[in-house]
Amino acid sequence: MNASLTSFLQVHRKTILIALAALFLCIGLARFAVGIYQELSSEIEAKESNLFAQQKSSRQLAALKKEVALLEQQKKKAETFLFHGPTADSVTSTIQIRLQALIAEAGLEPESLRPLGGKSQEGGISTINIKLRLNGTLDNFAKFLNTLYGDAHFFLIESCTIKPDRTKGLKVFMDIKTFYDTRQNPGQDKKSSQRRNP
Amino acid sequence: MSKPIDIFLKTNTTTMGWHTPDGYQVQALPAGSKAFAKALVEPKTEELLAGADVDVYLAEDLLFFTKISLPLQTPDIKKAIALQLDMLSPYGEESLFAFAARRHKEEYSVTLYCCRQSQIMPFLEILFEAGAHLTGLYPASQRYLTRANQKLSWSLWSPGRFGKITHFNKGKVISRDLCAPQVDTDQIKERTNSVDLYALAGVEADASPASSLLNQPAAIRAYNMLPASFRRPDYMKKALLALAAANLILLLLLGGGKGFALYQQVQVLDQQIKATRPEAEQAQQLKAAINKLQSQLEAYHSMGSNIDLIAFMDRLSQELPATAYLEQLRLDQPNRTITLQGYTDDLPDLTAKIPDLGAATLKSTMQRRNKTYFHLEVNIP
Repeated sequence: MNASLTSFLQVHRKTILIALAALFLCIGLARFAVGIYQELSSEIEAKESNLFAQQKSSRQLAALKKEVALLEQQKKKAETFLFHGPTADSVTSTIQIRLQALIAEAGLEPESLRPLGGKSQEGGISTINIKLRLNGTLDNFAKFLNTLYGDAHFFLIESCTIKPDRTKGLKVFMDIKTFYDTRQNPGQDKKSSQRRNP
Repeated sequence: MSKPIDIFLKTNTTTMGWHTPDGYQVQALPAGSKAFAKALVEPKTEELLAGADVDVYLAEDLLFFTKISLPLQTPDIKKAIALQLDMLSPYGEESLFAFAARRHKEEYSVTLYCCRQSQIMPFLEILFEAGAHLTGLYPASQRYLTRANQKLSWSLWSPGRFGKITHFNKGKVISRDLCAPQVDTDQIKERTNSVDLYALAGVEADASPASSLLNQPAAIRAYNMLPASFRRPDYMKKALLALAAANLILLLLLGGGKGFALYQQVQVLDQQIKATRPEAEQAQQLKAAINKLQSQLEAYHSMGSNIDLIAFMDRLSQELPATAYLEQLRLDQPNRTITLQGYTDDLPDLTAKIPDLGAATLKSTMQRRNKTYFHLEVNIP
């Protein structure tokens, strides 16, 4: 049997080698084809998922535009509550002028108005703390509070101490915090007729 | 598939053999071509041969046998033999030949059978005209090579003016020896190292009768000298090649079609992705803008809100008893508390009003100036 096989292999050596070469070539081609098919399949799968995600995003476009418009509106409205100016000093000056105006408008007597410097916060919004010492009647003070609450800019009353005074009626000590943004266009910092609630 | 009919052409006789349920039948036919042709038109023989596969076996006397060596570098053995046929065969260009080659370490060992074309062709043409389908023209020794002895080493003694002993080893013809008519069988066996010696009819020797080997069909039939003009086209081979080609083409078409479909799918997807990309990019930009705006708005919300001091003082003026007055009101916005300090003449009346101020707690009381000094803290929600 072995001798017969050996003899067969000897006589048909070329044929066997060619057949083996052809077989390996076929296997190689098949592997190549399968590789290409798998590569294309995975590429299609990736593209389909990409397309699906893009289509999903596209369908949300109108809702997103609406949401952005609403948020922009809210942001613009919120920005009007801030003081704006090129530098912290100029904003501090503006704030003091505005407060003096409100105090005068309410009929209060300012004993002192002292800014305590700025402090940067998250989102680029900076703050200035101002210490106020005022004298006046309760009505003047109520009027001042009313104008302060209703002002276009936001004044946060952090602390307030009211004491009766024999000569002036009331002594008021206030710590007020105001907010400003030096990144915005100073032209936007115009007194608005819009009133706000506390 | 029925077994073929065997025609044995010998120098002086012709026989026809075929397989039947009862065994292998042999019928003698006339030796001359004309008589042979006449015998074939007999009804029984004509019916037997019409459309049947016929193998023609030539007696060793009608054949020339030789053994040659060719270098391993020989590209085409058949071509090489054909080119040297004038030297190799005594019949020259009239030769019909067939060979078998065995590869050795240094050379090819080729065994070659030749016959005279003019001597054989008349018989082949008669058989062809009789409607037989000629499938092969072999040396007679090939008919005795069966499945039973194809793996053995054995010899076949053919009769003739000089006896011819063909030696087989594992289905291959190794050599052929000539011997004188009167030779002792034992000497032959001893000389040829052959254990199994078969003798054809006409050989007077102490050997097994070769006719017993005819009961089995021929196993390996090499040395087919049948001219191409008598060979029926190999439809099976052609059909297999056509099927293989069709399969290959179909496979390529399917593969190409599938590849093209995938390629088209990729193209369509690319187009769709390209078409939706601007909107998707815009959506991504809007999402980023929303995140930025939300974080900015959160910063605005974190600024806090004022406690409505006016409303509180209004309520306080309504709720405080007439006998009480404040010495100090202190608002603490981060803790959302308002601290009240003052005097009252009627503490029970004040404490009764405390719940009306909301989440108020009485921190302390003491007597000052003949009045009760109270310290009250109100939590603002």
